[in-house]
Amino acid sequence: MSKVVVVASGKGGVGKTTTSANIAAGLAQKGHKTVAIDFDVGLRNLDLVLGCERRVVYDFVNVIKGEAKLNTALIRDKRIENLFVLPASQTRDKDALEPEGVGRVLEELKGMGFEYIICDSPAGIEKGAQMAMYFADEAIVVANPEVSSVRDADRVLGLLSAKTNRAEVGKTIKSHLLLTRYSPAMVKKGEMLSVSDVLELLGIPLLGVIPESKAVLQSSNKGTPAIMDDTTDVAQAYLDVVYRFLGEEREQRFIDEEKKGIFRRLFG
Amino acid sequence: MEALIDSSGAAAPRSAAKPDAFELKGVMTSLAVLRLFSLDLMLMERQLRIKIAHLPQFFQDAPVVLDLGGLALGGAEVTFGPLIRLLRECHLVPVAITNASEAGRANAVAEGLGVMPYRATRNATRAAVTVPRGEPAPQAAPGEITRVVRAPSRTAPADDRRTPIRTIAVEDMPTPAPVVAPAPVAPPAAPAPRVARGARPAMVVRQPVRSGQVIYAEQSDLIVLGPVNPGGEVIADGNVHLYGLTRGRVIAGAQGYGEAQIFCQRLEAELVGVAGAFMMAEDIPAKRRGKSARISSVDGACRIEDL
Repeated sequence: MSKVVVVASGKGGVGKTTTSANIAAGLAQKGHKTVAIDFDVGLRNLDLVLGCERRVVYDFVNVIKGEAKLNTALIRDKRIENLFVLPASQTRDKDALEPEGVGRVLEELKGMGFEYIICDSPAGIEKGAQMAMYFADEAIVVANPEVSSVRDADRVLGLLSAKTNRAEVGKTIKSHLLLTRYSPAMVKKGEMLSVSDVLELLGIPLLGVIPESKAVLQSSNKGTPAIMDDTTDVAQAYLDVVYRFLGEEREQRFIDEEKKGIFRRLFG
Repeated sequence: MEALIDSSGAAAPRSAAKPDAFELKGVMTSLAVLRLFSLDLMLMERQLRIKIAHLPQFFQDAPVVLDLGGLALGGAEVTFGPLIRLLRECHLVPVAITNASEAGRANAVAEGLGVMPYRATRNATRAAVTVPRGEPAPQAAPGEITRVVRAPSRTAPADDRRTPIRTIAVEDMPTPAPVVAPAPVAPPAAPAPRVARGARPAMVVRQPVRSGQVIYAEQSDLIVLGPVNPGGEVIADGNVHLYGLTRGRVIAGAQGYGEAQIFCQRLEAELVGVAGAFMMAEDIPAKRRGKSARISSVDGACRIEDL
């Protein structure tokens, strides 16, 4: 049974691509055959974050246009078994995405036995984003604890309930909230929206909270998903997210400020 | 009538009590409205028969109201005799006209037709403030509540101007109090109340109304069970009842129904409007924010009171 999951946010820069890469890597690490598709045609990024940019020959648009076989365009990750990437085109524009072609490619991926198809949506609510969400079975809506990001996430949730294949046939898309770049210290000072503020407005279940961390930037630059170095809090947070996504109960972490013990206060 | 004249001679016991000859009741019912675009009777008959052939039971002896608003002179030029005969031959029973000019109305009354107050339907102009932006609300698209039955489209030629009958619309129209014969002199068509109270059930929205969504309850009340988020918009021609936290925009009485009100459990709205009177968030007194409220329009201004 394949599941198409869109990672969307509306607003740019909140962590869609980071989330797509880490969740795809995490699912693959757990033994699920997973592909991450970059829908951000023209601004190819996902391959960089997953460290396979030098191996891109053909891309998603080539496959849609019938210029390349899906098998040749798919890039197999060298570190994680079961992880594949279908990169975006850097040169085409987003009009190259049309529902028929996208649907055909997704069906073909399902036929190849992919359990999870992670669609990394571009920012905005234009065609690229609509294509990324159109065939989704589930959605991970990424937001930062900040007013405009939450407003955009709300907009995206509205679109998910209206402009998708499932909505058109009267079904709903199961949507999860992922709150990224969260800083409990700032929330405490009232400088950031709290988890409960965001949940009250969006009204969807919380998949997890990813703390603000330098590790995200470092791992992007290295092309290694943060989840692979499980000593960092970001990796721990993403691991929790993957477990919850797979249906396991995990207590929410990283919401409250870490209490520093006397030792850490003196030496930390 | 025969029941009253008892031929057997035996005095009916109830005749002593002088039973009422009739009971006068106002009822709401659905009527087919035939909107005319041409007076070419031959063309009309041909197309009418095709449409009836698709739904013969539906049209058998069905009373129809003739909407003359689509004719150039509002029916002034209509010779009703042949038109009525044509409709009767098609087993339709023309009972009244609506949306007619003064002259058209006089013609119709002279031919024994009643006059129905014209009520704006879905094609009517919406209030200027309700410009739906972006995507229509999914769960309750405008028009969903308007039960317009379009005649089978396959038979309808594409060019509307050559089509005398474009739609046969079944609508909830308030029927005037029934009279025995077609009203000899119908009361002058007073402007119908914009919102026929009780004519339509309220629209109920269970999902949250999210940023960018617009819900419009045409010709009815609107009940929103979940929150209305910032950037979301809920509009009704009647009242609006809000049970969740309301942070978006709310408009009641969008077509000018002055008695409309907004009932709100928790008011944090960006904007409220009733029958053309508006109040922005910054004008809502601080003590009203976050509380339950009832908002009405008084002398062209919004008034907020305790619920």
